[in-house]
Amino acid sequence: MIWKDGKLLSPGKILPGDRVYHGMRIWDPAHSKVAALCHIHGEPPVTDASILYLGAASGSTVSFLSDYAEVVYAVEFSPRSVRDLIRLAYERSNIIPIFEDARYPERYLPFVEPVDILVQDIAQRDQADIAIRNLSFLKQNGHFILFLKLFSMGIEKKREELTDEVLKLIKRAGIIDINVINLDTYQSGHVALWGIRSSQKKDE
Amino acid sequence: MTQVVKNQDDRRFWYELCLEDGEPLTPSSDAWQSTIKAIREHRDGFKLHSLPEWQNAVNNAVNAGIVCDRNRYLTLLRDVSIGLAIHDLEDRCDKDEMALIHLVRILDETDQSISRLSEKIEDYYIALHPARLPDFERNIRSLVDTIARDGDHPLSHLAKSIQRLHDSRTIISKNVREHAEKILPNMSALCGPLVSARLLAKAGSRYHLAKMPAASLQVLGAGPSLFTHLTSGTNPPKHGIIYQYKGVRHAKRRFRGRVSRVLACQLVIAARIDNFRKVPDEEFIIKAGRKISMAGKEV
Repeated sequence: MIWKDGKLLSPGKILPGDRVYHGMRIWDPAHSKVAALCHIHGEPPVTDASILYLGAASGSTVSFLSDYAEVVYAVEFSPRSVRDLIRLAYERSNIIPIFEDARYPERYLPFVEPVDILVQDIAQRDQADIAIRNLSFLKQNGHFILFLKLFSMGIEKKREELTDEVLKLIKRAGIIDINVINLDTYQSGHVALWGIRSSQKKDE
Repeated sequence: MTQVVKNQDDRRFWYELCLEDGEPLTPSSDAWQSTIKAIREHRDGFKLHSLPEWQNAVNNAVNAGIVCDRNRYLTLLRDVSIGLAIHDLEDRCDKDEMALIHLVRILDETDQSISRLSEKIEDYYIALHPARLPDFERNIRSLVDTIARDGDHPLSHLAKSIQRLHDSRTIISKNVREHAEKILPNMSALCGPLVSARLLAKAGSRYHLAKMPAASLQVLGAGPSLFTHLTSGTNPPKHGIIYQYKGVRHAKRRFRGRVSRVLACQLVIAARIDNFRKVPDEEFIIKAGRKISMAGKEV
């Protein structure tokens, strides 16, 4: 990935309204959780990868990912956001917009190939569960990135408790080498969990 | 069992449907729309294969002559998924319901604008005439009317605009009533079209309203005080938007909780009838209305 003077840049097509630095778009960590992850912890191997992005919203993060990746499958269920996503897909040929509920992956199973990276960015109470349901799309040894918005999981429990709960869930689903990354510097109340899908077959 | 086997045989990959007379399709071709339709039908009937890894699919799709390489494949997939998304967007939009939700939001916004502007005009008037006490006390509307009539007044043009806003508000509110009585007949009969429409706008859709427990509907619109209750244990809110219903508003203070609870219980039943049956149920309306009016009386 391209860095210049501590800024993360993105080589893709520039659209009106984008902030530009040295002729490239700035990928702002305050506006995109993936950029925040790159700044705080390290870069996921997005170059020439295939990515499944759940909760693409209007597609700002997706547009940056698509500059690096080979193809981004962007799942979003809000009609308003999908409009923007479709407009974006007209501009960038490697974004594939999918207007479905990520809770029911069987609906888009026929269109999404196995991917190298799975990113879950849906702030719902069952956010970990949504990611696990979509795990069948992830290749073995593929990267699994889950952005947890802690406020979405109720306010009664402590932060560590919630994270541990989710950790247990995704470990049981077959994710190993999990890093817990605190994104508070750029995105308050968010935690990223980054793991690898184990190549060992889990026997149920 | 036979059905399942038959389905298995019928299954295809999505790109196999993008072939017309052995020629690959493009979005500009005539058959494109019908192809998208066919893919949607197959998808909704679960008659599509799930995709294998590209390395396995490559022979499949390229050999069939649909695409020449991976790049073409991805472009085709993007075009198809844009087509699918556009069709789904059109399909899932319930025009009447959306119209009502947004009309209510516009109505409330108009109300707010009117009262804010009128207040500022009143401030101006009071600042300039501090001694004229009895004139327009507590009746901003007539103050605005007087200023609008006075052509030399610096604010007369703004006052006229406020009058026009009042007219727009009347029209919008009439529209909201008509829409609400059409798409929420049972709820409108119980708590009035405006309150029902506001509840709908807050919930987002009839489906969400129908899924809601009565306790949630009761405090819909009382978010801040509900969360103070949950975090720091103050008393829970008795009512949210349903406070605007006169039966709740005018009930004696100690009965308000009971009335709003009973009203909310009947309203969720009404919301479910509105969502699923979609016709007014006279018998239910009479029974529910009686229960609600009973709740406000001393036993």
